[in-house]
Amino acid sequence: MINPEKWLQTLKSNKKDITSITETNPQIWVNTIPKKNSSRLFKKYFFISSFFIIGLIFVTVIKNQTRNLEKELDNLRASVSNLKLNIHYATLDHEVITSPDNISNLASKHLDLNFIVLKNSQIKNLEDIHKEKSIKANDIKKNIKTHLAKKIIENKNKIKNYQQMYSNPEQIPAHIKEEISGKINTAKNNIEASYTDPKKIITSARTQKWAAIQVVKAFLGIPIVPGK
Amino acid sequence: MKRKNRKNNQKSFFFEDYKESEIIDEINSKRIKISLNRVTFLFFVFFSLIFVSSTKIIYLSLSQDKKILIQKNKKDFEILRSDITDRDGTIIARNIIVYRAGIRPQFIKDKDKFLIKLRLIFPEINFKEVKKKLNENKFFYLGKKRFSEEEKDKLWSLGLGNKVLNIEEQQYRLYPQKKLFSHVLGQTSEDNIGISGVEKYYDNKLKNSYSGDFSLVMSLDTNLQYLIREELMKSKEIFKTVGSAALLMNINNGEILSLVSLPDYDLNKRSSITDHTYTNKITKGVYELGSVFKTFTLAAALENKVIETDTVFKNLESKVSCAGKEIKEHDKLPKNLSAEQILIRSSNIGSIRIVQKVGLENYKNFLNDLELFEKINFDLEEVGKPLKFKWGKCKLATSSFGHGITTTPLQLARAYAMIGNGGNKIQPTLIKKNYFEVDNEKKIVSSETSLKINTILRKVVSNKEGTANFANIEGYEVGGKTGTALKSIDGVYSNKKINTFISLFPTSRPKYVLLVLLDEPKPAPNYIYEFPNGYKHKGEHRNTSGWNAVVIAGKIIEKIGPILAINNLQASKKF
Repeated sequence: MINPEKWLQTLKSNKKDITSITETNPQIWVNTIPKKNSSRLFKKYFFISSFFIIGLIFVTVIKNQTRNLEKELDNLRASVSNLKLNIHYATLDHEVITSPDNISNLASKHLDLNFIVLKNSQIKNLEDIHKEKSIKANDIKKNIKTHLAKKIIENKNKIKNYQQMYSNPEQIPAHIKEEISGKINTAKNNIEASYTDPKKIITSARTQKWAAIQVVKAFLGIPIVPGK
Repeated sequence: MKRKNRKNNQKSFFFEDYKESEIIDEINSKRIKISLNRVTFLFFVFFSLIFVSSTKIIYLSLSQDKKILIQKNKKDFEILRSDITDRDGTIIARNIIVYRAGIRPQFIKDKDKFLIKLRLIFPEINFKEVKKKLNENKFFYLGKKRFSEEEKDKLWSLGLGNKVLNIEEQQYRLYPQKKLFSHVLGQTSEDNIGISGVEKYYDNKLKNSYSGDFSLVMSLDTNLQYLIREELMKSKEIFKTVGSAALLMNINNGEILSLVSLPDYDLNKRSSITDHTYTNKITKGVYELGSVFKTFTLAAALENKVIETDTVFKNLESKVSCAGKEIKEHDKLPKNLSAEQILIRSSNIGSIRIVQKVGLENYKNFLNDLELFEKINFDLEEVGKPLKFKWGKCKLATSSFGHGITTTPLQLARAYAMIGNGGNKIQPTLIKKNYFEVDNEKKIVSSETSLKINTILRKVVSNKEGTANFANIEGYEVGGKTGTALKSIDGVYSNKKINTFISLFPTSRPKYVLLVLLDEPKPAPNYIYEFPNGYKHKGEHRNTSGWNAVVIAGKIIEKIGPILAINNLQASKKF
C-alpha cells in the first residue's frame, strides 16, 4: 500500500498559498461557468437555416430560370437553323423556277406571244414619229400648194392662150375649128335626142351601172343621191 | 465522491466535488437542450428540403411553357460545300441535305407486309430488285439513291425502327441551271470532292469556307450564257453541226461573261462521260483556226513597221507552192491588194507576202508574246496544250493564214482582246473582278497598231468586200475576222471544217470579244439569209465561216447587246 502521508512533507512549504486555497469559499465557483443561452442559440440556428433555405430556394429558382433560358435558346437555335434550311431550299427553288430555261419553257407553253428581236431601225421614239409626221404633213402641204400654184399658172396661161385665140379667130387653124364645130354638133344632137327620145338615154347598161354605184355608196356609207 | 474533512497539517491537495445530484441534473438538462437544438436544426434542414422540392413540383406543374418540357433533338444546319454564284448572285451550285436508306432484312419480321407498305409509299422503286435483296438477307440500300426530308419521314412512318432501317444523312450538290454551266462548273463526287471544272480547281476554297460566309462568285452571267447557248442550239439545227462553242470576254480585264460548249450535259445526273465530243471546246480543244491568224500577221507587220495599212502588194499570184503543196486563194481576188484589203478580203497569198516582210524571227516573237503556243494558266484544269511544231519557211507561210498552227479558242480570244484593248496584257478568268487588272509593264502592241487593227476589223464586217457582213448589227460597231479551217483527223486533213468568227465590239472603243466556233457545219440551202440591208438570200451551198459562224455571231450580238448596254443606240453612244 502506498502511504499518502509521506508525500505531504515532500512539497515545499507554502502555507499561505495552501491556506488561501483551502480557506477560499468553494461556493464562489458555483455558477461561475457561463450558462448557454438557449434562445440565442435558437436564433442562431434559425438564421443559419433560414439563410440556407433562402439560398437553396434562390439557387433553385435561378437554376430553373437559367435552364429555361438555355432551353429557350436551344429552341431558338433550332428554329433559326430550320429557318436557315428553309431559306436555303427556298432560294434554291427560286433559282430553279426563275432559271431562263424554265421561264422560256413556261412562256412557250402558256403565252401566245411570239417574241421578235427588233432591229435598231425598227425602234423609234414617239416624238421622232410625231416630228416625222409633222414634217411629212408640212411637205405635203407645200407640195399641194406648189402643185396648185403650178396648175393655176398653167390654167391662166391656157386662158390667156384661149383669149388670144378668140381675139384672133382667123389665126385658129382650120382643123381645130372643124374639130370644135364637130364636138358642138354632136353635143347638140345628143341634147336634142334626149329631149325627143329619152328612152334611148336610159338604157339597161346605164341603169345597172347606176344601181351598182348606189349599192357601193350605201355599203361605204356615202349618202345616196338620186341619179342624174 | 464524498467530501473529506480537511486536516490542518495536510500538505497534499484534493479534489473538491459538487453535490452529485445537482451536477447530474445540470448535465442532463444541458444534454436535453443540445438534443433539442439538434432536432430543431434537423427539422429545419428537412423542412427546407421538402419546401424546396415541393415548391419546384408546384412550379413545374403550374408552368405553362410547354416548350420547356419538349426539347427537340435537332442538329444545327451545316453545309459542307460553299455555293457558286454567277456575277449577279444567281446560285449555280448549292449543296442540299439528302438521305440514303439502308435496310437490314434479317430483322424484318414480315417481309411481304414490308414490301406492300413500301410500294404504297414509293411506287417508283424497282420492287423485284428489293424483293431479291430482301431474300438474300444482306444489308442493302433502297433502290432510290437519295431521299428528301419528307420521304425520310415517310420511311420512318413504316415503324421499322433503327434495327431494320439505317438512314444516313448525305450532302448532295445541286445545279439549278442544269446544263447551262456544265463545262465550266464540272462535277463533285458523292463525298463532295470536286472532280472536274471549277469544282475541282477551287475545291479547297469551296470545302473549307463556311457556306454562310462565302460563295464563289463567278464572272459568268446566267442570262448571257442562256442566250448564247440558245443561238448555238439553233445553229445545230440550221447547219447540222456536231458541236459548237462560244466565248464572251471582257476585253479590258479578262472576265469571261459566257463560256458555252456544245454538246453539254446535265450536271445533276452525274453520268460519267467518255465521248470526246463532250470536250470543252473553248479551253481543252486545240484547233487549227485558219484565217483568224491573218490579223496577227498584219498586226506583227504594223508593229514592226515594215508596212502601213495602205501599202499595196502588186501582182499577187493566184497560187503558191510550198513543200510540194499548193496554197490557193479561197475566192477570186484582185491581183493588187493593199494590206488592209488583204485582211478585209482574207487573202492567203497576200498574208504570205506580208509575213515574208515581217520575217521569221519577228513573227515568231510576236506570236510568242501573244502566248498562243503555251498552256494557258486558267481557272480550269481542263486546258489544252497547243501542238508543238518546227518553224521554217513553209511553216512561216502557212502560219500567216493560220494553217499548220494550233491553239485553243480561249488563247485566240485572249490574243484578240490584247490587240483590241490597246495592247494591254490580260489574263482570262472565270472569277468576278471588281477592278481592272492590266499588266501595263508589257504591251503586246502599241495603241496605234491596236487602233489600226480595230478599224480594219470593223471594215471586215461593214465593207461589202468583207467576209463577215452578217454580223454588221446596227448600233454595235461590230468588227471581226472569219476563219475557216479543215479539220485534221488522225493527222490527215479531211473535208470537214472548223469555222470560227471572232469579233470585237464596239470597235471605236472595244469592250467585249466574242468568239463563235462551229464544228463541222454543213451548207444550209434551205436557210434564208438576211443581209443587213434587208436583202434575203436562199439556196446557199457554201459553208465557209462567213455563211454560218458569222450569222450565229450576229444573232448572238443582236440578243446580248441590249443586256450588255441597255440598248444598241446607247451602246453606240456610250462607248
